[in-house]
Amino acid sequence: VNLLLKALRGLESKASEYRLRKRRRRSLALLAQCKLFDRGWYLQTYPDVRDSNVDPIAHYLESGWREGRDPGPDFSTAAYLKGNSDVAALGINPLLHYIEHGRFEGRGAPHVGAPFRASFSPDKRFGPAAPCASFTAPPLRPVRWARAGRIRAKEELLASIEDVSVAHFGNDRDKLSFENALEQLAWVSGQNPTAPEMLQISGGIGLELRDAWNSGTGILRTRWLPAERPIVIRSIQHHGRGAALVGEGCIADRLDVLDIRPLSPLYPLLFVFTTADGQFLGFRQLTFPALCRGGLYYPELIALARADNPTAAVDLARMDGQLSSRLFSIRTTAAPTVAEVTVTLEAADGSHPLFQAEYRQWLANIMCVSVKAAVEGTGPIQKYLAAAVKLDASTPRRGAATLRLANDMVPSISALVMSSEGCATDDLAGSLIVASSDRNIAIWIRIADGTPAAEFGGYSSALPALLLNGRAGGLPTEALLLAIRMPARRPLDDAELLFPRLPRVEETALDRPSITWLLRPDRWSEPELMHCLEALAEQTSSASATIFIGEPGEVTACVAEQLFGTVRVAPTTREATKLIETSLAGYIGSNIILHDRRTASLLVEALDDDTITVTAPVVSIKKGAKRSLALPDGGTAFAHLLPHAVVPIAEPSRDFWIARAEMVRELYERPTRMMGRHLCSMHVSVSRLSGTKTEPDSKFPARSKQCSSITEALIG
Amino acid sequence: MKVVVLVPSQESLATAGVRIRYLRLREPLAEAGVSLTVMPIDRFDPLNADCDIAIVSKCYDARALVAAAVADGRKISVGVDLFDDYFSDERDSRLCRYRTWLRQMLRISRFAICSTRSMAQIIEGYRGDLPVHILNDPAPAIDRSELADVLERKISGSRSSSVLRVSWFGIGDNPFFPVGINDLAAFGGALRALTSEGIAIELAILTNKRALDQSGLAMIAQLPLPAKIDLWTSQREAQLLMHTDVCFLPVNAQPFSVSKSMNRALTALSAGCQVLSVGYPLYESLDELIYRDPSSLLADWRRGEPRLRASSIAILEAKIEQLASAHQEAANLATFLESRWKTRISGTSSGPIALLHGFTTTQAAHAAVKAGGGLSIATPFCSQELDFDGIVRLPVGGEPSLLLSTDALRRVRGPGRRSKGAQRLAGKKFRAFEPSAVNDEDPATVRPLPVQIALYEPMIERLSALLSEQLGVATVLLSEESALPVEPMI
Repeated sequence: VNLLLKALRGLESKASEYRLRKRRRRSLALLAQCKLFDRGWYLQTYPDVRDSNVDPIAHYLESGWREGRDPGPDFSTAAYLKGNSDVAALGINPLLHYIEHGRFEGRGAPHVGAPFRASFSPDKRFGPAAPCASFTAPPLRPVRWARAGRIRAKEELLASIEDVSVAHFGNDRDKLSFENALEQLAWVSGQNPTAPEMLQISGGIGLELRDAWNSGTGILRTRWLPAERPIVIRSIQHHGRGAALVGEGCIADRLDVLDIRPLSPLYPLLFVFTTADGQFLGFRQLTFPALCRGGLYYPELIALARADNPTAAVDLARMDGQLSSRLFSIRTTAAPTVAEVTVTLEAADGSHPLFQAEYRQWLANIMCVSVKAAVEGTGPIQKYLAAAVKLDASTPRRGAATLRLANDMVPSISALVMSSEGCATDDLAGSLIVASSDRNIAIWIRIADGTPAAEFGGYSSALPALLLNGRAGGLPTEALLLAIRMPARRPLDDAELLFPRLPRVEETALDRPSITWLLRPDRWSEPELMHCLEALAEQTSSASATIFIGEPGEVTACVAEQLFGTVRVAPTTREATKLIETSLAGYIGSNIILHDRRTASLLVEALDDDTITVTAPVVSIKKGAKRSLALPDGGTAFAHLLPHAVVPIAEPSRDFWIARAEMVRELYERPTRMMGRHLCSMHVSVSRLSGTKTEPDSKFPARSKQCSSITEALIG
Repeated sequence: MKVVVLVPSQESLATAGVRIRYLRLREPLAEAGVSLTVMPIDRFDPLNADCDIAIVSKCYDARALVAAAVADGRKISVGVDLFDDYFSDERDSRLCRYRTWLRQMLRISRFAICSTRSMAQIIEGYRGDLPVHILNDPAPAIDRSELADVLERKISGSRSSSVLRVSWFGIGDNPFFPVGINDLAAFGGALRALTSEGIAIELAILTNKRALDQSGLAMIAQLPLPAKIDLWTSQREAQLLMHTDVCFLPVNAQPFSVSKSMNRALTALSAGCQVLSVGYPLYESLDELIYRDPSSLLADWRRGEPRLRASSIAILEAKIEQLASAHQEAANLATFLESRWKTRISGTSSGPIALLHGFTTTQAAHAAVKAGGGLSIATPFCSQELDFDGIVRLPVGGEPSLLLSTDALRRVRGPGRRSKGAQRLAGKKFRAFEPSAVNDEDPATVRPLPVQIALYEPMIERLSALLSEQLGVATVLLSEESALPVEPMI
């Protein structure tokens, strides 16, 4: 038995040795195929290895990494281990880990000299993901290319940025082309007063920009359609201190990306294309990098591209080119529509882009537009906000209109570059996009017919608007995308849905209009109708009468009489309208409760000569262990898109509205759509008793399940 | 003079707020003849407490209201200390509960203490005649030579390495307001301006775990440079500041933020850090020592003469002396409290206290008012079953009825005190006030919630008037822990 055990142990030992040798061979092969291991660089950097005649790959595999040596200029052993403490704890070769696991797990390959970035694990450590398959990656085509500064040529043929060579030219035409592109970049960035004769977005030979996204920590990652040969791309930005090189890389494969670290996420970028050894091929300007994914203006790119062609892929370069042409036009020859931007400061906290130096610099230098507060503040916070938002462009614009925005919006690029070619004669409410917090989902609220947003009680509308500066003409009549509303930094609380953000209105401060309430007992259960009457009786408005359309129950009639004094019964709605003796009437369909004492008084404030009915969004309280609010139909818009606004809606609410008495009669005399408008005030809400809803409110269409990115035409 | 500070719980005693605001003052107050005790409100017995002054701190519930009302009856001068603004934005329906609480608390209080001028103005808005004292958060004393060494080491070290260590520290979230990490993300563009100057920036973030949720981490990822994140402890904060060149302290302009004290900036400066504060100028009284824009900071740093340097420590000392000296603050507070104590008066009315229970109440509040000899009365909206002294019934479409137990009936007086006939509810004998048939089967809680919300404010206001005008109740209080947006004016 002992002999057998000994033999088994021997076999086991040999098998183990075999496995180790196999693993070593595989590791050597992986390192040899990996472009991060630079054999020449290794030998040059570590002369002791060179002098010892040891194979550099074997040296790095066995001992080099333990000594903190780097396999090449593009991979820092120390930074990788510092940034990935779980790898360091395992005691394995960091480059091998990166090749086999790290790159698939999203771990970066820190270049030599990079500051390390610790992986985040405040109280929990995650092990590396188990690979579902193990295989040797196919060898990538090795590309040798000259980094900026290593490009060699005669001085007169070199293009330099900040004393660093970025390209060399084969002829004077190329050189002139590059210099013109650089001057154009300076001009469009507001650093050079001399405008080019014509806008040239691209020139020479270049690659096609397929995609670009903000990948976090200030990096803009770009993907390009590769050419047959490797193309080196260098990115230049003109920002304050002159042109600066902000990124470079070689695109040889579909998987290659170019990372850029812009000095500003908003300022234009110039991409210069060269051969691997630095010979100039061409250039392309990206005027609005904020249109890239994750950028401030990405929602606008999506909206514009989908509006153009809903089924086509979003073409960043094309949209950027179109907007660039318009910018060139309004900065050279054409008059812009927007003269200046005014900002309402209601509920502002000064944290949105309009208050941030980086964004304001872009507005002033590139868009050349002034900004001011709509109303000067009085308290210290309001004074601070008014001063913080005020921005003077160096050259005032010649536009015809003021663009009015809420403080959590930014003006759309389309609005800022719009030229004055239309013929509108009235103030105009525009469409807006509401962006999600990561800016990758956006809801587009399109105001199709340009109906003005109603002003209400001194509070600003949540819709952006173009206000004519006392001049006729100058505004396009088509629907306009005027602004992007930045995300609410939190969803609305249940309390805010029940009582929207509104200064507390004392009863004495409100008018106490007399309203006749119209109710249909046949659509209520008797207890719920009595509840409705109880709530109505607490309204700050004084109800002079209640008219039941149809016979109420005996108890209900008794309660109504006790609460309101006068109770009348009409057999039909038409007859009921004839019984209204007050100047105002309210209709309450089934199962609507006015839970806020101010509801009727506040809605009456929004009634004007052009308005037929005014209503409020409906919230439903779900029953259950944990009470919660649901927002059917219009509630979505109310809660998430248009808080604190009064907006026009397509038709009267089915279940609740207030109107002037003569309008009510008209409404039933002429059941077709009348001339005039219906409004929904988001300043107040009403409740629907749960479990009784039979059909959706008609005033807003539901959000599309298929497409959460854009829901069009909330308002028909 | 014996002063008791009442805090919400035993755990509160270990918070940074208590340590900074009260414990730093204890010694200097003792030198001024004032003994300061901080205790959880649960351990405070207002009927037997051996103190001259009681200060309510962060106890936003009915226990504090009852304790204050009872203590006031014993000539203990009761005040409130406010340093978080949950009260000024009357448009915010999430905070109805806090405003209702403060309105009641200030009605009982004989004085108020607050952390900033902004907070004082808020109190004045609620009750203009109340004496208010501004108690600045005291800062720790600084050692001039040690701070000079730290500054020298940091300035020369960062200039020679061209690495600027930037930190953001503090509570990263708030249940109501977007602050902390939100501000860091919103104003993070200023950090890009630092990186633009060709200097390596190492950013460190020290904050609480709750702030590091999915959305918090996403916001941090959108910062223009990578950050090293760690969980906040006071030791880690001290350690981080020791190795920080610049503290980045953005401030937004919402009322909650602009009412904050200068504690963070002073802490950073005292640790030898430059301060870059963008947004609302909360720290403007420290403008000589801090930066409002990155370019000035970088220009000074390149020259090797940042605003906080060895030669400007004297300015910092003067600022601390002026704004946050523990001795000075303690002396001012002692003087103020003494004046309040000397002019103390007890409650003028001899009637009982009544505590109304709203949608959501607590057993502790109920027990507190019972222990204080007051009346515990369930409104029609209260669904909890406690040993109430009074119950209000509200039949649909009918008049409300107040039922008082026969025991409670003996303690009230006034024109309304007349019996309408006894009946037994929940094993107790009650008598009804106000004309109405009482039906135990139809409490208001059977109504749908929107209806209850609609009826709540007028009902509480009418009930309060009835109790004080008809039944001689001295102080009517409301216990409302619900997050529902109801704000009766009582």
